[in-house]
Amino acid sequence: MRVVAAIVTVVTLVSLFGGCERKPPDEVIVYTALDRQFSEPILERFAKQTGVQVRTVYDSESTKTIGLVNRIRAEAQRPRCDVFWNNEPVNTIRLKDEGLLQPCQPAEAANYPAADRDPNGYWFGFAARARVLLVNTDLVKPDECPTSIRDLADPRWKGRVGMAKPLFGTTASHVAGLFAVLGESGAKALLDTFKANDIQIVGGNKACAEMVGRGQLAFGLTDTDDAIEEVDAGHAVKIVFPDAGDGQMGTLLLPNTLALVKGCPHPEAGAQLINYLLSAAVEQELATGPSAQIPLHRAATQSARVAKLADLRPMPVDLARAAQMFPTAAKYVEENFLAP
Amino acid sequence: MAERVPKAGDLLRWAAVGFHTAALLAALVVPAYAILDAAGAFFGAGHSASLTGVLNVRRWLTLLENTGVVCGVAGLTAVGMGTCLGLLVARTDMPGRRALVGAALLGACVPVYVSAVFFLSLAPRLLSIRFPGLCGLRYDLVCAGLCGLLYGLVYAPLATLVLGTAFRAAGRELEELALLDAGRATVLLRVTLPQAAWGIVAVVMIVTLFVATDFTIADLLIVRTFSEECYTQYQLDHGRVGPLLTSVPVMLVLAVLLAVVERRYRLLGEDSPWEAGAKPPTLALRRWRIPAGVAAGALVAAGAGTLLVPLVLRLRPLAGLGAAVLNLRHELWTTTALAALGATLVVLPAGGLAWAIARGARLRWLAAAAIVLLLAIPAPTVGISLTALLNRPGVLGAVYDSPVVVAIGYFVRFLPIGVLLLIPAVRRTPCELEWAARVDGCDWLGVHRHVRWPALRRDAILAWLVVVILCFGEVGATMLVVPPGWETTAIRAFTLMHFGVYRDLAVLALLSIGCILLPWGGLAWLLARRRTCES
Repeated sequence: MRVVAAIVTVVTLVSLFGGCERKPPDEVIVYTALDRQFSEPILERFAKQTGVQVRTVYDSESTKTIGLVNRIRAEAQRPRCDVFWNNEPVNTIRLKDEGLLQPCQPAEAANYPAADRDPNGYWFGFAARARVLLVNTDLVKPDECPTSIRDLADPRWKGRVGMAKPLFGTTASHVAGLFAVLGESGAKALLDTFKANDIQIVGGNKACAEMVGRGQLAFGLTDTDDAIEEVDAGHAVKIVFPDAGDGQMGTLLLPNTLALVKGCPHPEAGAQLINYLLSAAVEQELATGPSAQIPLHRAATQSARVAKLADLRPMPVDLARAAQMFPTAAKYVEENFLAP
Repeated sequence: MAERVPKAGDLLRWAAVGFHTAALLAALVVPAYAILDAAGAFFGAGHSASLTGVLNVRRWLTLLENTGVVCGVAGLTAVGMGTCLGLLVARTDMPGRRALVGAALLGACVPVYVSAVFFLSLAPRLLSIRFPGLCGLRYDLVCAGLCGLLYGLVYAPLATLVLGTAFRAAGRELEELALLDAGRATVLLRVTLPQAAWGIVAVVMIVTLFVATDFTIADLLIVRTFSEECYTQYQLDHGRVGPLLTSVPVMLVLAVLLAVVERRYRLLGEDSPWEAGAKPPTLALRRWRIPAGVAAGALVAAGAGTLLVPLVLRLRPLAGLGAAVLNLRHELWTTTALAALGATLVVLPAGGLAWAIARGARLRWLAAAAIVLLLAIPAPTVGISLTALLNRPGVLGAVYDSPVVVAIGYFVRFLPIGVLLLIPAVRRTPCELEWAARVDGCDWLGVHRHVRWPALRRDAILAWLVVVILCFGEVGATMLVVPPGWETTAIRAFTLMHFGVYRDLAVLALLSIGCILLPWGGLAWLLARRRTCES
């Protein structure tokens, strides 16, 4: 039995020393809502190039974005996150409005359109994704193909359309965007029609896209990065940029956003990382990689994998207004899509 | 009169009492904080507006209904499978019983998240489907039922072991007397089963506790149980009040339920039913012996094969597999280290606490009540309370920033399990041994060195391994406190699971099983070697 006790002790000690790493001389702590498989290689390359150790908290799909945002809020008295790499802008703006971010001036920011960054340097947008309809072409005939998100309320597809839990991630931002564009009553009326059409609420955008790919849903509302993976997998699917016609509200574009957290422990390294992530090379990598993001950097070559920015008709959403409407939208969604 | 000089043994005794009290209080701070914070919010006027949604009766009924369905179906599944297999293993002459016990032991070691990966790899549609009404049932109840079924299958091996023990502990004399007047089937139904009722109750309680305090599968299937709601509400920026008000009443109800069950069945009392008496008569299967063995073996092999094969198939293409394994080395090291640390933190005070509860120390009921309360605390509540308690400047903040906070979470969650695992070992140690040691002149330290530690050490190592396994599978508390750069395998798997089962997740699940089963294999080998040496 002494041998067993000795083994247990050795395993504990070896594990502890093996698992622990010496604190590097310089490090940066990143909370990232962009899916790990897309963000991790970029952060690792930054660490390799600069020698700055990157410690990351990745997001969970079921509470996408909001979980990390609330973690930053919970740590507000003693922040430990340096850079918040959000996969959408609305909640970053909410953090700014709550005074939880600090400005910085990365040189690369000048290469982005003014609309995609905060004028005072609190946040910077890059590498956008679009909110699209992914359509299963085996189930939906070409002449029946949806063209608008309003088609999610079409009785022909009752119970056979889907979207992610609208409390989290880009779906929550989309709902807030609708509240900003259509007004509170207009957005509520639209969402009520979705609910009446028995829209399927699933665990995340990826799950929604997969269900369309497998033919469990006729079409669903998702992000371009999840949709393109179904296309790449060879499923019978088609990406539709909704509401792109004349007189329609346009397709919602959601850039990733970067922000430096107020009172963060490593502001210099954080600013350095933000500047790196805003470089044309990173945008190009995100555009040509599996996530097929839409580049916003002026020097980045346009990706043809999903769509060219110039070909899209973006929804004219006031992001600041969407951020203000977010709590109202979230409360409505919680009461009507998760209640009781 | 000469003043009595305290001996080293006395000082050590008081140090030990202080250590155990401090450990118990440290763990109790977490539920106490949750209860006080929730009570403050409930009775404080300042929060009344924000509590309207939390105190919605319909919401509570939904949560109660969902949690009840999940726990009920899980309990029924585990008890149903556990009764059949436990009976075959413990009371019949079916061939291959040892192999079945081994399979049940292995199955009981697999963490919930790995089991969830198995099921999802088998049926990816489970991940996100909204099930249509089944036989007129509401779809959310069907989802809750499926969630309960998965939890039940996860805990079926554990139920088999517990119920096997219960059937084995049934009284021999009573059965032999009954056999004089009735057939075997009647005796089985009217004598054996009622005698093993405590085992069924124990399984139902274990499953209810594990299921009601966890949200791994419930979150995947979007089933709103109390624990899942607590996690979701916290993530939704509803502060601590809503989540705590959601979880604290459930924690208290579970604790009371546990206390009632313990009082009724005395699972840990002086005459604990776990202690087997004379071996009861074996039920001869006669011509059904071989078919039953083949059927049970085929069932286990088919179950394990059906679950493992899809995962192994997902490892293809084999090129780049090494890189995928290397990518996970940090998570595996982190988890192994933290699980080892957490289990050590648990086992160090667990022995003394088990002794205090089982052997009539003063205030034993206080310690027992504390253990019951800790057993009932939902996982997210531990994470929420730890964040609120430790995320502040100074030493506490340094702890919160380090991976030690995860081990503290493990300690709070699994200290009661460690104590419960060691209580039977205390019960098995005759009091006469301690008296004899004292008569021979042993002081407090001597009694510990020569009686208590030798009596507990084998079970302590076993408890350490069980807690390591539980730590490997912990998601609920770790999710909320894990510091940047210290992701555990459970968190990585939980995150990946929502995207479906791809190669990374298959590799992670299979490696996790390897990490868990390796120490068990080592222990089994050492015990077998020791037995050979002794013989």
